[in-house]
Amino acid sequence: MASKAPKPDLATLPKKAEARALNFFYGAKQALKNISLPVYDRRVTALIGPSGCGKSTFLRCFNRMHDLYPGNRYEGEIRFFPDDLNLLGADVDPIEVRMRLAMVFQKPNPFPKSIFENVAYGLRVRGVNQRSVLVDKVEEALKGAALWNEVKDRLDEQANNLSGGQQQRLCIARALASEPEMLLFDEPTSALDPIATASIEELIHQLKDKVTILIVTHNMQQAARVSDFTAYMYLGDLIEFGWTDDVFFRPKNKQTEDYITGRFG
Amino acid sequence: MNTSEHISKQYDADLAALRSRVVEMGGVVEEQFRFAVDALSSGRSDLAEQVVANDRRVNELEVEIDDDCAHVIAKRQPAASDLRMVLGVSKMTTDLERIGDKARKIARLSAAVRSSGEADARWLEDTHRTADAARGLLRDALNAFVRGELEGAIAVIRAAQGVGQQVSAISRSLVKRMGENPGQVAVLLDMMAINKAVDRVADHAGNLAEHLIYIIKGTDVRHATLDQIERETLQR
Repeated sequence: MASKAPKPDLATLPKKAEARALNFFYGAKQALKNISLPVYDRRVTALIGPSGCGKSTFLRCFNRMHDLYPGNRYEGEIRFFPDDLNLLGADVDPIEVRMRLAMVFQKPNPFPKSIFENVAYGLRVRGVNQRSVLVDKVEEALKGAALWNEVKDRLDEQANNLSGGQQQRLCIARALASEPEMLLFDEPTSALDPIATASIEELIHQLKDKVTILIVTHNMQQAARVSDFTAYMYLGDLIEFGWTDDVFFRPKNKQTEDYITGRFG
Repeated sequence: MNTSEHISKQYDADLAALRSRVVEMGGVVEEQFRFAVDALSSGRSDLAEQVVANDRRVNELEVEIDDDCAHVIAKRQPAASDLRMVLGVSKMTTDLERIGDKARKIARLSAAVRSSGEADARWLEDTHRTADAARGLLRDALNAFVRGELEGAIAVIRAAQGVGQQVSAISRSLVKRMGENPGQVAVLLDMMAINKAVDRVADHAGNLAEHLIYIIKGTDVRHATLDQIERETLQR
């Protein structure tokens, strides 16, 4: 039988995080039902599914975004490695968690500050104020976000002057400046045109050498292009998880097949 | 094959059109092959000429259906079973076109073979019988495609091997005649080419069945043995 180079055995792949029997409730309404899902280290994992399936809810559990609203409740665990920390633990500081797992949102949301100060913001919050350190870190982060060449001569300009695609890369640079171990992308290109989308996708490809990426996307072709693993969710359940190659070519589950082939309705 | 409907009815219509066009092409090719073999059996040169002329239609269908496949890919970005359907249909048109070529070849050679006097009743009968078997495989493969039947596809692959064995037996007897009758080698080679063409039609019918397995299961069985095919396709 013809086959490509064998994929690594999942048992041997290091995990960056793992949801274990995760339930989540918005008040009385259960949005996630007993989700167990590994997130492999320095790989891209895409979460797909129709609106309301719980993919964004799941993503937001990782950096404790839900803590910001009263009445939300987690059950179960998200283990974070290598220190085997439970991200949802009551003793874990959400602010610290957000330093290690940075989020990039659907619409670019730069602060009304200069390009430089947007990227330096996280470092300043952590008490880094030495100019030479900030300059180095900002440059490094902008290079990491593939934005440096476009903005190096106008770092003091307002971030709002940048194009949508540049603003999104600036938000990625801002996230990278605090040297996160994991990046959480919540539909990062849904507000961008195809060219800006392609540059973000290329960036995701480059970033995965250094960080683990979890991405929510409505664009199935994007999930197919950028991810190593794909998880399909429906109504709060995890329906199928596997190598993206397999999920998009030969899904095991009929529901997954119907969704990715546009038969879902 | 996934038979439930897409949200986009137009997408359903595009894929249904692809399926029906490849079946249409299969029908044209099957008729071409039948007429070619009839031309040989009956000695009717008008039938042979018709087959040669109609081959252009087969070639056109191959190009048109391939173009349709490219358009579906460009417009719809099919995934999973839909993608396999489009890729499989494109591969099927290649095999069907080759069967059309074999029909043309048999038609072209039929006149010379008939007029030589070497085409004895026994050989004509054997050739007709193997050709009927090969044509049956082609029909079975197309029927299995229409119904999405995995077992039907495997039966075609199995039966294609039997046709190959029959053709080998006919070839051996032709080689023997060449030794006994060196002056007739040229026409005996033409006769052998006809038998070989019949054998290739059976092979292409087997390929159609392999493409069908790929469409249904996503398993590429092109270079697998029958045992492997049965093991890998029927277990999952």
